[in-house]
Amino acid sequence: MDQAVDKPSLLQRIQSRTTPTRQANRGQIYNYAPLWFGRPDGSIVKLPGDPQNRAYYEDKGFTVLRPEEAAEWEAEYRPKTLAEQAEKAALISTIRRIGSKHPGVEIVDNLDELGTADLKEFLEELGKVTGAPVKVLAKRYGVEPDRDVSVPVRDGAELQEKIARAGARMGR
Amino acid sequence: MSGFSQTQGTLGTLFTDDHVRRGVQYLDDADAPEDGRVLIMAPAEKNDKLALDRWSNALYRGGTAGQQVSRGQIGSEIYGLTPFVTTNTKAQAGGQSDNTVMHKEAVALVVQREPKFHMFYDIDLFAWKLASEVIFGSAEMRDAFGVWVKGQR
Repeated sequence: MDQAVDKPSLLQRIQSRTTPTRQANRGQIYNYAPLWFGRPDGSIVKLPGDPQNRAYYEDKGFTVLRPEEAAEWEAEYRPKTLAEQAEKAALISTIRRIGSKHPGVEIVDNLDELGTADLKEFLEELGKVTGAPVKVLAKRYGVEPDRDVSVPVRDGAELQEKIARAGARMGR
Repeated sequence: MSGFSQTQGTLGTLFTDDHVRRGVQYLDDADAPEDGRVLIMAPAEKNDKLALDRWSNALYRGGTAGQQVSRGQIGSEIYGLTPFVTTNTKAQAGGQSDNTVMHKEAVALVVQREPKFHMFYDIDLFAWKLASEVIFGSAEMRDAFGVWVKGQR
């Protein structure tokens, strides 16, 4: 089949990037909540959501997740992604440790580009090379508790909500 | 820092010496000035780096005797970067940290309204109360001058 026939026309491609019309407002010029952005490399990160930063990131090729997409990302995809990232991190850390203990093994570190299946295969091959099969046990035995020492910092949007709540109470 | 297009490392794993040097290479590729370059990292990263020979052995580093091991200080410079350790690195999730190698022109503090102070006398408490208002934020200014170094917290 002629590939040119299957290719969506310019107008179709542009229309596929639009969304159903929604109510937009300009609002105030401060206290914008951070937004989830999709990066060109496929990862999703939270970045400043004010209009200037948003336009800047979109010009760089990032895309803002729409409210329903952000909700779906947080509820369904993010927990799975974090679990995958944790598994990948454990595999990469193990590969690097093995590499550092065997002078004859040189690991070119572009491991982040590999998926977990490829990393497991890599680890198996590494086990054959070093003569010591390795298995990563992901289960934690409570040796060291999870420590997240980051101090939560409130953003302007939270402050704005607090002010609005206080205003509503006073209005009662 | 997760807004920088250039990345190194893996989220949830400690970044390596290679990642930092590659980050420095990216700054060199972008013709970033050599002065004003920084490495900003989480405490877990510093802990790991103190165990690396290149980061702590006086034969590599020189400087004050015992600075790295006795005092637990990386020193004033590593690969032309001034190192900073902070608990305020942003993180995508628990156990991860967004470290960065960048030139100071990569990110800017943007102040839309300078701090303005107001004083009030509160008759209920017989005290002066002070409030200030300011509108500020941050913005990425030069994408090529920064590298998101994914790491561990």
